[in-house]
Amino acid sequence: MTTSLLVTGRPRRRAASPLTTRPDRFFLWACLTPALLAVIALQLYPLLNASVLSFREWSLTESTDPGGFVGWANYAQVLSDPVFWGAARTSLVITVCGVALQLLLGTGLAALLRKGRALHRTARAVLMLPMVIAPVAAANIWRLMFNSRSGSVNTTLSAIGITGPEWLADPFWSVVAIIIVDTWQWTPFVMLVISSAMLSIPQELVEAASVDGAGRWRTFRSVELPMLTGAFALVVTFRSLDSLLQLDTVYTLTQGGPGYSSYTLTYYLYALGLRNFEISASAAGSWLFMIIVTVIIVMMFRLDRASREATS
Amino acid sequence: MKTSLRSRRVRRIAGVLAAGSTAVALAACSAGTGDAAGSSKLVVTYMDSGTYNVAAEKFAPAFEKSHDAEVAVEAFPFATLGQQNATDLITGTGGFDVMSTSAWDVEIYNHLQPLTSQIDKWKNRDQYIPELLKDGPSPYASGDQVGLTYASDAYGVFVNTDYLPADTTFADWDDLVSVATGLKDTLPSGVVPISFAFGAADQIPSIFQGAYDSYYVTKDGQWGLDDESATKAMQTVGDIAALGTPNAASLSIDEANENFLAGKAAMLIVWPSFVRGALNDDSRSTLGDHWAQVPFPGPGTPALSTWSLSISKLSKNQDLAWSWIDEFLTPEHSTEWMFTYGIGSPFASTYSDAELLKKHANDLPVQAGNLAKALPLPLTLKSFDPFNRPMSEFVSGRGTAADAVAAIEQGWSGLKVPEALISTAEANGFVEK
Repeated sequence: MTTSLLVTGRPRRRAASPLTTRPDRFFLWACLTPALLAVIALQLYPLLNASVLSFREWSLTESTDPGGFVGWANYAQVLSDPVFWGAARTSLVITVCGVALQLLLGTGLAALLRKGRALHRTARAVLMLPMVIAPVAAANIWRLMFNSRSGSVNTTLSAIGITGPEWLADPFWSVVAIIIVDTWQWTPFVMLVISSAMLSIPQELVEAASVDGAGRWRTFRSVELPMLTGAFALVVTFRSLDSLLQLDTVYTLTQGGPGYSSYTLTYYLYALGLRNFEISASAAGSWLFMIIVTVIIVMMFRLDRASREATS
Repeated sequence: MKTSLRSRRVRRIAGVLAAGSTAVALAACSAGTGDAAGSSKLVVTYMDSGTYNVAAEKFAPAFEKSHDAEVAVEAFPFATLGQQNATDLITGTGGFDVMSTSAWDVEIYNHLQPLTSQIDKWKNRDQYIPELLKDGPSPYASGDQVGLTYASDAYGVFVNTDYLPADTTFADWDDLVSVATGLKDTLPSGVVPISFAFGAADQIPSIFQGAYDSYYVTKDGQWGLDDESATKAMQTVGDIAALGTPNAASLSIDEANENFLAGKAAMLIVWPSFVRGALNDDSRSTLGDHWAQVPFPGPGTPALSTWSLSISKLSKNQDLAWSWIDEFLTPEHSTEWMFTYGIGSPFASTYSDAELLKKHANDLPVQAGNLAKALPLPLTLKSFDPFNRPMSEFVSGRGTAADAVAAIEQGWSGLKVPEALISTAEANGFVEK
């Protein structure tokens, strides 16, 4: 390695690694082994095990041990189930609408509250509160608020002359209710990340734009917004993942109903594995879910990269 | 760069310690499950309903004292109780000795200890409702009874006697709908003909079961419905929803009960045990004694809810576990708990007690009659989801009654009926002829 560095002419950063002797390497591996074993035991093994199970036949109510290999049958079973596709569509709608709303509101709030005055600091602290409530508790509170007759949402709407819908009993509005709860709870997270990103924008650039005659909106759109791309990508990735993975809100608020109208992918997998004990079909569904999530993440990273390249 | 002798020694020791701690951790992981239940410890599961579990907790201290044993009452909500029991049994954990089981647990009945010989000799057998000992109302596996019902309830119809006479008898569900439709225009403003918890989707099949008089299992052993009868019964479900409050589709059980208790509904369709306590409590009901339970209409059957106490085959305390069942389930306890917590007594003696009959004449005789004809649906939890969700969609305005029936059959098409359930379905007349 030293030779190659000399050949390529790169400066030598340090004389030598302190861990070159055999005892040093033993020490290094002794320290790494517990962590590696933990990673293998906690991450790799369950994944591989689930992968193997997804190709076997195993309903826990019929046998305590997995049966023989059945090829792609479990995947075919899940993919041919209309409830799975309905759940995938619902998950996608909740994620896309929820994250878009959170991005819009979170960015707006971050822009409004970026000044360091006491009032802004207090408002920021208050706005963070929903984020620290357990999703089950939040969903329970909202369940009461969404009661179509006595809940505060419809009471408020009725005070301004609007007849509120049957939030939790209507196939359309039950999905909207989940999006509202998700947005209420996680907009503060978006606000927090975007606020931090805004603080890192060099003030000279903003001042220069101002000197050049750009208004507040133009400065935000042309100078600040492009510099927030990285933060947006981070927020969209995290929030999309969280939203796709959420079970507690749906479980508490609608139980996937009415009918299957708010059945999400995670609820589908929960019912398949933990209520019906269809272990192998659930493993196949989990892998399909993981593939869908991975594709979404890869797409987001590509979009982020493309956006950065376009900006630079 | 050379390391000093001292630092090398320190690293060697640290390395050995790290390797050692890894080995200890791995050994601990592979040590397997310990014996959760000691020889004099009993773990019993109940539904966390604020009634069943409370009764068990109240009874436990006396049992602990008389048996010099420690009892842990593990209470789980309905949504997870079956899961907890099933997981404990099918994974071989053996953490629970006595389990509260219901008809939904049919797939795990073969993991429960046969109790036929104990029940044959049981001291309270003569006072028990005989129908509740049969396959269906009671859990059976391979011909053996594997549980003893301690709480039984049959779906009921209650009337507000300001609007309907206490001795009302509906010929069938069509008659009930017709009477309720007639009432609609005569009731005071703010009072609806029927209150029912359509928002609790798992309750809707109880109306369907009452209005449907045909099979749930086909000749070839698959779940299925008679399309024509099922569509008619489904339409009845829709008709009843239309006779409720404007938000009928989202009413929870408590909200539906509250409508009736507040005098805002002429009829209430519900599990009697969910409302009996409140109806008999003037601080919670505005009705006073202006209410009565009326016979559940046909042509189908009232839904039966039974909670049984079963013993896990994995329990190391089989005798103590049976003692718990034997002493928990007495006519005295059941009668007391029926009127304290609303837990439906499985003892005929409760319903024939002259004093109680006099006091609860508007409720007990009908309850006993409904219990004698009530049956559990031949479904598992796995098949219940595709059964109740299309009904819930139909009630919320999506599709027709025929669409809902078609959706149920589509949902059932890939499911296999467990062997244990077929004999139960046959015994209760739920198999296609």
